[in-house]
Amino acid sequence: MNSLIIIREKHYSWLRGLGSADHPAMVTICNKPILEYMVDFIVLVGGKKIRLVFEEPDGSVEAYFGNGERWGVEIEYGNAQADDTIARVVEKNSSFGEQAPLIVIDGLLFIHYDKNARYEINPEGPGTGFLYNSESGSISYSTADAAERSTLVEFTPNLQVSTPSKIVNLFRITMQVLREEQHRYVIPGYGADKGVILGRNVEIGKEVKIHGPVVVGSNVRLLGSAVIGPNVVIGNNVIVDDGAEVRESLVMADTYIGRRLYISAKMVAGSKVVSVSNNASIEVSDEFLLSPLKRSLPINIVRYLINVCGAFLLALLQLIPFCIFFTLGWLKGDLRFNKSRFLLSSDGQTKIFRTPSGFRTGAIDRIIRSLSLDRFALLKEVFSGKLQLVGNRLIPDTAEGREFVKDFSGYSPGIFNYTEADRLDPGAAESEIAERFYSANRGFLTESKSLMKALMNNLLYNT
Amino acid sequence: MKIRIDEMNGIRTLALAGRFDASATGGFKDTFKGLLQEGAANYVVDLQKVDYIDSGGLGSLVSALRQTRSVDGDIRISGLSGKVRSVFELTRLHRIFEIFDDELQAVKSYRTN
Repeated sequence: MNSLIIIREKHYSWLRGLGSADHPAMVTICNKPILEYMVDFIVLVGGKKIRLVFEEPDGSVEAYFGNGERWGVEIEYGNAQADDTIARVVEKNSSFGEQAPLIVIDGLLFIHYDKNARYEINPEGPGTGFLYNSESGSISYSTADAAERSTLVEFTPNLQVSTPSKIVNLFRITMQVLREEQHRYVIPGYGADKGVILGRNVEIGKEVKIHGPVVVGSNVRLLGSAVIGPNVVIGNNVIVDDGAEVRESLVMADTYIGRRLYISAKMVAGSKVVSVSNNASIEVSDEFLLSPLKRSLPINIVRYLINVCGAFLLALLQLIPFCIFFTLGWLKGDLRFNKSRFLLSSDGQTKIFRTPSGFRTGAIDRIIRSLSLDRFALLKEVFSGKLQLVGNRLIPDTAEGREFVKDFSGYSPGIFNYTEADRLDPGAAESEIAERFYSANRGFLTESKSLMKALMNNLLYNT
Repeated sequence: MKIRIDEMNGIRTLALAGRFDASATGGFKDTFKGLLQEGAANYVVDLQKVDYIDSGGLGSLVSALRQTRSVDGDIRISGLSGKVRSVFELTRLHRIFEIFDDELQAVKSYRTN
């Protein structure tokens, strides 16, 4: 049996940024991604191959699930477009569905299965079937087209399904799993006490009190006299400081809970607190109270040093011509500078750069451009680590720019960019392709080549 | 890069094999230009035997798509292998091109439209 699981990310965009998950399907319930529960279920009903189909893949799901070896299934990946119907997705993945029966799950669902039960699906199969959430809240298998759903067969035993459509739903599902259904799933960690599951590398202070049911993730520190539970899920990489009390709440991954803070009936992710009763959320600005724990990224020192060396050499070469031609240009009154705010990364950091503008078409301006002297003033930003010597095109901080960069993980702007290296129109689709492609394939050789190409293009096409 | 051109149900299919990089884009563009001049509007480009594609190759596919759409045609892609699929996803081209598992299904999809 094969299964297609279709995830349409736009319906779950509210899940993005909840905890450390990059992709909505990786948001966790009791420290296990929602999608993993779906994969477990398919394995339980006899699935051999699963294809995960995304509209907006970001690599994090593939990095986690790989080829599915860990789950004892073959996992493949595919794409769908926003307006693809289920039938169209099945058509596009035709070779995958050749070996019927094929189960199609459209959407991110939480299936309340029981790992110890044996499920039987439609005895009338084989054929393509669709799992769907019926009005009664149970999950059914349809052998007809999803739109008609004429031949519905309930699973035996019956299955319930929940849809994480809002934070309140996600909270309710988690609480249901925590209080009533822990025994039905494989939850990461080991059972330390009745209803208490602890992950790896958990530090518990001598006076800490834990009242189950509680699930604690990995790399967690519960300090001093903190009180945890009942009905609490603590995500991975969390610190609960001395005297803090957390009950009836979810603490998402990478969060610091400050000393003596009392949290009840809340969902906490970084510095964001959501009340599960009315969905109201606040952002706490006091980092001693509540704050996101940033995972320390290994700084690529070699890359930084290469950039700095390149910028230093270029600055040496450009210094004298820059002084001469900018003085001449300034005396002529040609040169003007514009202060604009540019985006520095996909998480929305910005900085104001002073870039030359208002060039006329005189000989001095052409020389300045052809020798790339208009970039000289920006070279210092390479030393501060704000810009790369060669990187992505600088995008102004506008609503459109923010939208573009938000969807561009790994965006890293440079003084020289890939678009100009390949002589592409900055507004064309080819430019976006080049920017994304080179950004994902960065390396010393690629960047040296791009730098040379950009310098040569400026020299040849501005004179 | 090798390009094999066929026709199935009135749809031109281009099966590419080898490295689809900047050095191969000229040949692809010329071939495509010739087909457009013959009046064909709908195409399937099969990348099953392409083992490497770079931004130049992707750019020439987008440029070809622009040309076909200007004459109400389309280009559909089939046979993406793991690495090439990753590059398509990375550059968000899966949002622009309709991608099918195999060439035959991609050809059939014109009829179902």
